[in-house]
Amino acid sequence: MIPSPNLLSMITVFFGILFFLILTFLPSIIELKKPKDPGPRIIVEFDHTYLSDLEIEKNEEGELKANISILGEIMAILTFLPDLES
Amino acid sequence: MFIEVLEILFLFLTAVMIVYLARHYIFTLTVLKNSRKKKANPSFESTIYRPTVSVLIPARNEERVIGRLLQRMTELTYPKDKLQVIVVDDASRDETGKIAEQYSKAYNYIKVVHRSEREGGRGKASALNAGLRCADGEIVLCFDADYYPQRDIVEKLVKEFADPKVGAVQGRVVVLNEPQNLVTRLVSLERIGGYRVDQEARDKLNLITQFGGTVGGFRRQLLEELGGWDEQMLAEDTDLTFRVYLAGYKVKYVLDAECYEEAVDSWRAYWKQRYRWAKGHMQCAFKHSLKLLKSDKLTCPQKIDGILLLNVYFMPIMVLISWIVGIPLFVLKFSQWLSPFWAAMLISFYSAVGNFAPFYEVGVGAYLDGRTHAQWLIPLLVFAFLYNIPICTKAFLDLLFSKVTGKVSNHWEKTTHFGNGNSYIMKSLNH
Repeated sequence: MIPSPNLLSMITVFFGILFFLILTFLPSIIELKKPKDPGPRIIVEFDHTYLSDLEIEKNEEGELKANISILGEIMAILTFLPDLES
Repeated sequence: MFIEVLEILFLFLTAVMIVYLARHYIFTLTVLKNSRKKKANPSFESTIYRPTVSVLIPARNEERVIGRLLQRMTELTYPKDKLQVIVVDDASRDETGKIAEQYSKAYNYIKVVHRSEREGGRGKASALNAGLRCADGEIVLCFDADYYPQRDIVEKLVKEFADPKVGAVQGRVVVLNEPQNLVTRLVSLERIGGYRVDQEARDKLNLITQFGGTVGGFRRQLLEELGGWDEQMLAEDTDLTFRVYLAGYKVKYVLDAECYEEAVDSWRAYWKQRYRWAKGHMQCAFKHSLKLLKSDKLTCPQKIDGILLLNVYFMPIMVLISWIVGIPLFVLKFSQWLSPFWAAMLISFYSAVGNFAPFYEVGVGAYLDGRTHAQWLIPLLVFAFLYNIPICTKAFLDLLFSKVTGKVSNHWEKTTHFGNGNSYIMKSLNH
């Protein structure tokens, strides 16, 4: 059965609208399903960075912590040195 | 004759929408243009200006959030001998007053004003006036209880008062609980459009920069001369903004003075908050429109911008009427010559999404903030806009009803804060 022109135009309009809606809202649906946005914007202490960036900073901080512990050991040795002299 | 009236009405509404479209387009281009420039170094910035400051914190049943703000107040970098923090416990039925008292005992610059059931619960303006009566700083700043500012925010805000023309300042609001759900994410987008682009552009173009009721403040002397906050107004912040301009002062926007807020996290809470804003804004439109036009203290662009700002909450109603009028005109083909204007109509409607901050403002704001993925949610703002149509219509009808009957119903629907942002603050501080 060949659809009548009227039905054909209705189907075209229906799929046209559907395509437009999918095209418009697809990015939003993707972002809602799997958010990649790093919000909220961190304004406190860390200017212009985002929460997700903190994972990277964590590693750097880890190294810093190691340095601090080395410094602590050096300090302990230094405080012990005068005792050796006495 | 009837059809012609409808056609003229339709064209008028379309013209108004195009004016708003042009306004937001100019704002967006202004901010884009300025974002490429290096930040100017105004002479006031180099001046060390350290006036005494009173920070007012109105709080009613805010036990879940008040502690973190007061803790933050103790961490501010502003000299403590020039700082006074006044918590107005507005007849709270929870532990708000007790928490505030604990801080007051530990820090001598924190003071608590307790309001009884009889005095309190009359809205934010009333609580702020109670705080103002105890304030003795040269500058009065306000923070809502659910806010969480930068440590150096006071310095950033008060330095603008070195300019004697500045009567009030406003900082930037950033949504803290943004990832919580769809509502908070959309509110965050609206805030980006409003604060990153809209307010910034109005400041740059020397138009009407708006005091948003929190993360900002006034010269105390000016505030007292103006009679403080008007307790009859639901949008006491917008009301005060226009009173400041009509008094010959300006409101300065400080983009880098940022503060977190806990956004409404349900459509029901969104309705309550926006209803209050819409009704309050409309009250201000009735109160100030004529005064604004007659004022000799404002420039012509300021008057135009002021009128557009005052009437912004009529926009969703205008869109609704234009649909009611326009669809029959188009579908029933009463008017053939009107059909070309449908393109303009559609553009205007689409530009109006984003709750009065059109989509390109939000888009550019997100781009300047480096939020490329947040931009993907912009199409969803159309639902927020559609939701605003019944909100603004109800607000207008209620206001009209109260004007006609003389029954004033300015009940303050307070937004409840659940402390959902606490986890985000802890997460950032732990790192």
